[in-house]
Amino acid sequence: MTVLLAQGFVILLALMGLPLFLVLAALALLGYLDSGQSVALFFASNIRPVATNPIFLAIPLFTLAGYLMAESGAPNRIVRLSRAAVGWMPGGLAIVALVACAGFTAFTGASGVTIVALGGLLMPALLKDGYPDRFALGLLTTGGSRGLLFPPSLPLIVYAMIAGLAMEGASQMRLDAGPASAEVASETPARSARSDVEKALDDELDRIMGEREQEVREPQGEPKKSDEAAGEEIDVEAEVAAMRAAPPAQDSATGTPEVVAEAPASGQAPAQVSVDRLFVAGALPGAFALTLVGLYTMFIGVRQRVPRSRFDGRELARAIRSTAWELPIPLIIVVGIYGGFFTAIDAAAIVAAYVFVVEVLIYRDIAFRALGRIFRESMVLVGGILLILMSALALTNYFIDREVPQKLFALIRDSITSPFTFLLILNGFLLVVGCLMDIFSAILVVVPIITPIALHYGIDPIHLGIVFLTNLEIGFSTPPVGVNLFVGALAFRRPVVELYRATLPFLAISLIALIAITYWPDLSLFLVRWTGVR
Amino acid sequence: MQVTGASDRLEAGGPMKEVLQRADRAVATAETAVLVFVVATILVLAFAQVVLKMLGAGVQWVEMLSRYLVLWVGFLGGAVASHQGRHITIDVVSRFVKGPAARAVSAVVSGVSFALCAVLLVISCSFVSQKVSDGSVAFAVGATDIPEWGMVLVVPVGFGLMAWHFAVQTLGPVQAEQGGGA
Repeated sequence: MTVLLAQGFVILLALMGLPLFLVLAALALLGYLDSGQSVALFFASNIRPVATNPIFLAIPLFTLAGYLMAESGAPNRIVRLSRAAVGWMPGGLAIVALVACAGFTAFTGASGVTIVALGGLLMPALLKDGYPDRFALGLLTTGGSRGLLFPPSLPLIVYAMIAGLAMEGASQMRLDAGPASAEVASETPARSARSDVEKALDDELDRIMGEREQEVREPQGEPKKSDEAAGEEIDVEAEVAAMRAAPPAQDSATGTPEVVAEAPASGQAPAQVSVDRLFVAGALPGAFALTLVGLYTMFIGVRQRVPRSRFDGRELARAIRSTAWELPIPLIIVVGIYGGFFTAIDAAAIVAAYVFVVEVLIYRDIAFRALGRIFRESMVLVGGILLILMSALALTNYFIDREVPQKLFALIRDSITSPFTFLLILNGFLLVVGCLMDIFSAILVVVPIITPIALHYGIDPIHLGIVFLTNLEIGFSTPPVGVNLFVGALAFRRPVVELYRATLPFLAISLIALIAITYWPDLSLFLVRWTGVR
Repeated sequence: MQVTGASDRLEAGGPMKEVLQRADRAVATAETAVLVFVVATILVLAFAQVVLKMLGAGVQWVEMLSRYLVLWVGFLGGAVASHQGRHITIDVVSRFVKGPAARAVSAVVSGVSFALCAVLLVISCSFVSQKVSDGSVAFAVGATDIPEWGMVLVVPVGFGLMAWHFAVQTLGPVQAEQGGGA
């Protein structure tokens, strides 16, 4: 009772502006106290992941790359290129803005700098071309999160990491520490001196991290072990089990990817959530949503009779030449990750180093003097996110320990029977969450609870991730606390209420896209199956 | 989510307060210098490791060190964010409360933040001392083992720095210097 009161008090403080990482930390500590666990567990559950999981490395690297690009002349060059490439289409400059915003958001890992970097540039130009003021405002404000589903967006990375942990917790209970975990535990020679709690966590993490971690730890390890690398063991076993169960004729007809995709439905261990898979999965749904907004933009453009630029091959060539050094960046990510040459974390390192060399040494857009400030600015954001992540990991640990997802599932099992009903209710729930919470806290608090329940309904965790992120993309621009609205209000010097109205048509279109993405799982899963990325 | 700069309201205050706030800025400058150095190191290490891996010569400690340094970025960046009042908050109340009431709210929030950071400082100290006593190794550079406690020491240090910044802020909003840095 006292604990419940204290937790209520913490929520109140949260509304008063207590930093989110402290809110989550306080809730976790109170939870530990309540369930009679040692508060020392707080750090056992989160320091190790941050210190050893390679996913966390991607966050500072991509954010740094984004900030460097935002501070350089890249926004100008990207707008020029977009104009030369798509300015001739009906909708003219608005289409340019849409494409540039999506591209830039994806580049910068959706860290919220898009509106600041491109908004000031595009807003006056849109008005000059005769677009209605409200339309331009809405387009640019919602544009700040438009590229959320394209790699390397930061929420995509964070989702993969948290959902991986949550699924680990869920499968651990179901498999009851089966042969997979026993094998992993036996091959950790350097870690014998640790407490049982930490060891269990280590094993959990090793499995999530998959072969990358294993390769680094044991460079000369036996090939057999690195073959069945930790992260895929559940996957592989489920696959084998499914193949054994299925008659051979059907087996050859459906192929392996199908078997994996069917595994969750048949109650087997589900497909693995990894950053790489989410990166691949987001492409089609993201493009779909972008196309819908594009059509609306064209409609407005035609109705307003805005001027279009004539397609000029020479200007396009010049624009391409001016961005010649930046154009390979998406290629690095797309070819590298989609082609399976390297991981998202490798891509982060390559992109960050590349952007640094290009913007500072080749274009010389950024003076050496400014580097300290840019590094600091980007890392203040990263520090804030990492601290929230760590607190949330501790809270997740508590939720899973208290079997909160199972209890919630038991509560709704009788009233919600079909996965479609579940997804519908989930969408409603997430939209409310998106309005009230920022994207990172929403992922961190809600995903661990939702993922195990969704698995019970046989929903593919990758599909769930895309649905989840699409919801939050809408939430980014939804009143009252969508972050885009406040950044937009600052960038355009307009009252927030005006932005509320301006974003409404765009939110309506996003909702249509959301419904399609929710009830058409193949849109998200087709590319994953086709490319076979793990 | 709201990311704002620390309020730049100027307030009357005693000389003691001014000394404290000046010390606060000095601490933040030092934090920034270390933070920038750590980020630059991560950038170099992470890229070097990718190149080495492509040549089939990945070095384990390079990868492990760059991952542990992410922890450093988290806590040092968090400390600077505390100084600048730029942590991610939900913060609904301050949109409706103005004037002295707003100042009271922010003082309460700073006080609670200080208390929570102090609690986390104590817990993290026992976490680190456990690392010291069990002698766990983070990674090995050649034949030299780097103890894990050395790598996670930044956790209590970070909470200590954040506790300090929040404590100073209970006295009133600190004027964050812009543009400085290392």
